[in-house]
Amino acid sequence: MRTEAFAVSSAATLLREAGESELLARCRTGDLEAFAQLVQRYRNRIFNLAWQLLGNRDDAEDVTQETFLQAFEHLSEFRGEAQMLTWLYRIAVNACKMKMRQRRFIEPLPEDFEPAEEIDWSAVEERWLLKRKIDTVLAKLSEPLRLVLVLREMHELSYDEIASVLGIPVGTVRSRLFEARRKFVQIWREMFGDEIR
Amino acid sequence: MNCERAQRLISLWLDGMLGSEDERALLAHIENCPDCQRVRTEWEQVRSVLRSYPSVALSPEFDRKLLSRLKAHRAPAPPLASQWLSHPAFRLASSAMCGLFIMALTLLMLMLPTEKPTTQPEQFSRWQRHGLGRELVQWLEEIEGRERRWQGAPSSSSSQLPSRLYRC
Repeated sequence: MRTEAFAVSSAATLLREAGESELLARCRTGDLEAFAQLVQRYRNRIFNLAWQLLGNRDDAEDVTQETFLQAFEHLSEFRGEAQMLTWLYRIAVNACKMKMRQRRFIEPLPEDFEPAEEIDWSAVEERWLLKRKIDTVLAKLSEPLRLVLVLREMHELSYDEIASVLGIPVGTVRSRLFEARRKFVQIWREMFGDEIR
Repeated sequence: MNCERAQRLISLWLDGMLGSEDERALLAHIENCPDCQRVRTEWEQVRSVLRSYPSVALSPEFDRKLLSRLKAHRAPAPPLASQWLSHPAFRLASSAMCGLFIMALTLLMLMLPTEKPTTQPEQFSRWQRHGLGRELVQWLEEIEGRERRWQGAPSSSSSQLPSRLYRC
């Protein structure tokens, strides 16, 4: 049963990769429609990464736009050694770093937001409160620790993928994650008490 | 196993990066260590909290804005050589080089003699036209005539003189 499920998922992955390489080939000829399909596939993940790192909707949208513009412009440099998503993450992380350096702090949260999926509206307020807490703690972490924590815990990237996105060795990812978890708990306790939720 | 090492292993264990031997040792340590038990619980809570961060959807204008910006960019980056060729600095430098080349060419043209390269008889006739040749020829002929008169030698052809003089 497990083997069958794996086979199905592998076939799906292969199919997706085949579709992706075909799309990439079309994009390289300047085909905007093909590029729009790639954007559609990855835009929400890139936007949410920027949203989690910057905590601000407008900045996150700017970074997402910038990421896809740069990707389109430098498509000829993407050799397909890494996954498309990892490559896009790398561009997005660099764009976020630029934004963070411009601002140097996380701005107050926007009051409006549109949920990506169906959620329990009664829990919205609680979730917003939680978001504020997370933003506050993340903002107090150093940039390298914040990046590994977000990529691992919120985007579930593997150590190898994080290393590729950030351009650091896997051993550094390991030690930064340990440090980031430790610091996150410490800051949370200092600001909101013992309970992490 | 001390707690520092155990906590490093907890971080790896949470990510499924721990070998089975280390995992057994870690779990054995955690069972008897309330501090490490607490750390494990806290880090699991951190994961749970971070994964409950509300996700958001892009604004409806996102696609339209991106498309118009992409159209402005239009084609993917051309190869490096054409990027260089279209670079303003390169264009400026190449224009300057062309200008310099044209100037150098003009100067060279001005410096070159306008007359055709002369052959020996022409040079001789030009030389003769300046008057000096004639005088010199007349003078030499006189000398030669005197010599001949003194030596009684037959007179040489005057046509041989110019070439002899040219050689000198």
